[in-house]
Amino acid sequence: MIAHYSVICRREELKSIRDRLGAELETHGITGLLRDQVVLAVDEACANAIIHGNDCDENRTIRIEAELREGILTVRIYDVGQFEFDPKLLERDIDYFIRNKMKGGLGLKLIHAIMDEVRFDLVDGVCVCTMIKAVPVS
Amino acid sequence: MNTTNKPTGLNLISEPIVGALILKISGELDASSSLDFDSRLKQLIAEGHTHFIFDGTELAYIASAGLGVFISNKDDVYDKGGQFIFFGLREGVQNVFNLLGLTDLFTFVSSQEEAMDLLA
Repeated sequence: MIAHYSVICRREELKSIRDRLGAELETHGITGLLRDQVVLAVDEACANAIIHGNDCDENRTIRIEAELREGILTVRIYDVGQFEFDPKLLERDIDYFIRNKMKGGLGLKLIHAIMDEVRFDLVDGVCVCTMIKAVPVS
Repeated sequence: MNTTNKPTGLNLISEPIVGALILKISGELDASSSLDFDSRLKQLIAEGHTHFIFDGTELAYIASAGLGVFISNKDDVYDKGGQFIFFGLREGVQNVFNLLGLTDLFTFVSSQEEAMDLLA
């Protein structure tokens, strides 16, 4: 495990999540643009959980776990919110978002563009976002 | 020159020039700071500004919420004949635009001089 911590559901926590994860990835040899992209994907998933899943309820927390095994980085984000999304949004091209002046949904497209595998599971009432990426560790 | 320094880690400096407004964005444009940035940009558009030159030399990070601000305000500017021109974006920030295929949507140049030449 290279990271495991909980944060309060408020937007202002996103920067600390990025800073902390970025430093931890760097320590484990994930650097440069690859580190930046992984941090972006995790930031987007956490923003979804905090803002859409938990409505920025500061009485709630989300938990972030990251592990690196044999060149496979797995990040899981746990929250008890009500995050729902339309999977059809992922099939829409960017013009759809532009035409409709949409601010939402872009984050999921970014996550899918960056990570090799993305899953959303409901486990005992907890929403688990799992993101997996093969990383050439330097 | 007008400076807006919000506690969200984003700093905006707007500098009017002939025919355009240069907006220097410093810090990180994420799901938190993009709320203030969206309000400020909408205010500037409401004031009648149409040609925006974004100085990204000190923009360290952008998330989808930041991109969403540019996308959602684009028509209000372009419909009036204006445009969004970006210069000096760092590799990591430019990469986020690239990942979503937004490079054809806006204009990207390498320097403020190039941006101003486009408006001349």
